[in-house]
Amino acid sequence: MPAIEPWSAPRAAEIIAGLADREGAMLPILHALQEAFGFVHEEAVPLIAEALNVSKAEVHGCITFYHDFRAGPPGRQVVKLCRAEACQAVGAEAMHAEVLRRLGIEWHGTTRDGAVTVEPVYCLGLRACGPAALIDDAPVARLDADGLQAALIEVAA
Amino acid sequence: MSVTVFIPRDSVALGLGADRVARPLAKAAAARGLDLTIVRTGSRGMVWLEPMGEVATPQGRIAYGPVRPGDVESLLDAGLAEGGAHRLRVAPPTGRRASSRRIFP
Repeated sequence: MPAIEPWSAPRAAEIIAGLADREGAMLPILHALQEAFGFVHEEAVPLIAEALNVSKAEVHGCITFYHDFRAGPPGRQVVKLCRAEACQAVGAEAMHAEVLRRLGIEWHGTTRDGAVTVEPVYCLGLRACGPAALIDDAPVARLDADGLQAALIEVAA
Repeated sequence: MSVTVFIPRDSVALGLGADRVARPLAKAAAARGLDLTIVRTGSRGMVWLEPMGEVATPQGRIAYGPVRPGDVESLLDAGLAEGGAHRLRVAPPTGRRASSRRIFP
């Protein structure tokens, strides 16, 4: 993952201005903001609305429709666990329950030390080798709770 | 002699650890003074064999899989560069036709 910058309204305005002329600029802007700051700060909403000449409600609607966009900073590692049918069929639900229990969090939650955020995702295209997940955008297949724990330690090291 | 090994880097192969095989392979080959080039490809879709590496030989490509990081040394010992026999070897040995009943070694 690229280094995350602290939230800065002038920097956000610069990112928005750089993409505002594109057709269908909303999603590219939201992606760029999340890539830069790790989440889409609520202060970005009026900036985007102004730049694209749309209402704040429209921007808010777009951010909340796509669960990939976060309203707050994530943990240092983001784990996306696949909850789609193929992974369910090979026992992902039980594994997920175990992972969340070990981390002491719920879906979309971040551990208290800010180390890990766990989010659900619906199919990563790794159906033949589930349970699947993304750890900081890197695919991991045939996952179990111990394997995830080991992978998190490996990535954090 | 220069050897070319093909290792997939699509999301299935990566999810099953292709990078964790490619890195030690490059390192181990260098340590042995073997001139080995790794070419990253897409998967052939045989997910149960991923990560599946293929080595180019004069008789065609010979495949090995599923390869774990811990298999790298034994593969080199078995003569991976020439398509040598190994428990992970998938392709029929040199010159054997696809119609042969001995698909797997």
